[in-house]
Amino acid sequence: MNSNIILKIEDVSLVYPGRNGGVRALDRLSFEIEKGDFVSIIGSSGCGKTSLISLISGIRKPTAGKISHWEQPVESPSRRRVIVFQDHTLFPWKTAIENIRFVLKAGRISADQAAEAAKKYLAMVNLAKFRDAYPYELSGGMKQRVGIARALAADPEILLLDEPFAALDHLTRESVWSEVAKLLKASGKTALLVTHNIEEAVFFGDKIFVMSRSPGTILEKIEVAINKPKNIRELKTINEFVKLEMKILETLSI
Amino acid sequence: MKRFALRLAMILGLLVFWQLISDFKLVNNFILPAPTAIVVGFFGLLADGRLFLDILISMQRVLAGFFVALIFAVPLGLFLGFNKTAAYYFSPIINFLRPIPPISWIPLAILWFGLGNASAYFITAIASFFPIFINSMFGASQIAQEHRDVARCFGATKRMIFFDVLFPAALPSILEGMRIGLGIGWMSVVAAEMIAALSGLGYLIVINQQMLRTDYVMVGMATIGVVGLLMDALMKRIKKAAIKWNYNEQ
Repeated sequence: MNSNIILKIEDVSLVYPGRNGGVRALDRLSFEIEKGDFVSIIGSSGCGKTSLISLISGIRKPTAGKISHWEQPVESPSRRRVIVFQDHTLFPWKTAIENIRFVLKAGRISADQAAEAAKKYLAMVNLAKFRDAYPYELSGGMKQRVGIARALAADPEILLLDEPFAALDHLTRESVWSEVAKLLKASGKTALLVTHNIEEAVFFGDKIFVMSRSPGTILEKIEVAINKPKNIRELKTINEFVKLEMKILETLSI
Repeated sequence: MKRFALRLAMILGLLVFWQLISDFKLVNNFILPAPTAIVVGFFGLLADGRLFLDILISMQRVLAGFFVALIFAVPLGLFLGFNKTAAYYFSPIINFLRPIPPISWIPLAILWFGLGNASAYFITAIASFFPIFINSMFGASQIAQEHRDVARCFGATKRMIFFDVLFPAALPSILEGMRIGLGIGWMSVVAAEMIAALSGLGYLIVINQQMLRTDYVMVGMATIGVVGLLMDALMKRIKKAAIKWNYNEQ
């Protein structure tokens, strides 16, 4: 029994109700994540990645199987497992700082402390200057960074990243990647990133789980043994990266 | 500038045409008084203070009814908007009552509350209620699932979910409902005063019609229009000030 396993997924299936027995989104999925791991799950669009994230967070319940967090079954959402959502999902009626303060307040932190801490988290993503900006006044990359600051502000044990960069354009994405990677590494949090972008999966993940198309199931688990550079452009020039990319592509196209 | 001048000319042209019809006695003056006669009538009513008093009385009535409506319509609308089960049971009643015009309640209002303020409050409250209610309910039902998920994911309390998420999300719709509700309330209070009151702008119109003072009738009508316009402009201002974050609405 490995006591370092923070998250355990056992034979998890998810069926969306509907005609002809509904749609099977996930099929007997099993994997484990150790404390401090950064796992990327890669799969094509519609393979049930987002569903998996909502199951782990506790927002949704699996049709069958078991999810446990430190050996406790996951039954409802908790601040110990927080999501960075695909589409920033900041509250449009709150400014950047208010969005972060909301999370701190939800954690029963006193107003004074929350005000201080919110500033700190916003500075962490280099947006101190934009504290009083409403989301509509921020660019896509900035909104996503506030979303990450908000998630970190909850101080979760596991960070669930649901394609957080999918809505960004290519150039913005590359710069946000480097910044966020640095930040997450510094935080030392256990993290699970789901994505359909191979570069992203490799750049962030120490381990990569390759997921099949519907119904979603894990095809292969890969340890990433590359010594990773600070930015994605350098990574792309490394030979092992190219080989790994090919391997993932082949697995995905089975 | 040229377009603005033309626009002004249209109004002036209409007034001149109207004035000529009266001056050449093409239509009897008490059927259609001249614009100048209406202006004279306006200053006459203004000078003896009656017009101002009637405006205040009507406004006081519409505001009273409006606030009564607000107290019931917003909580009920939000509740039914958030709660699909409750909406299922309540909506037939509301959908049945909604198309009944507020003024058709006047006979009942007189029976229940007699002539005077209480009836006017009742009619305005009914008139304002539905737009506020429907818009509040719509606003509450439109809240994005993702925002609810965010609140749950971060462990917000029920109280926080309501005050930090649900209410602010529904606020633009609530304010829009208030704007429409105040406008409809204003129209109805005047209608109510024509039948069920002995003061106010509606009463001013009816009493002067009976005394064949058509000029005063038209002064009353114009005043209702202008006050209505000002109230609507004020509500728009309030809405804009209250919702700095909603770029779509501005």
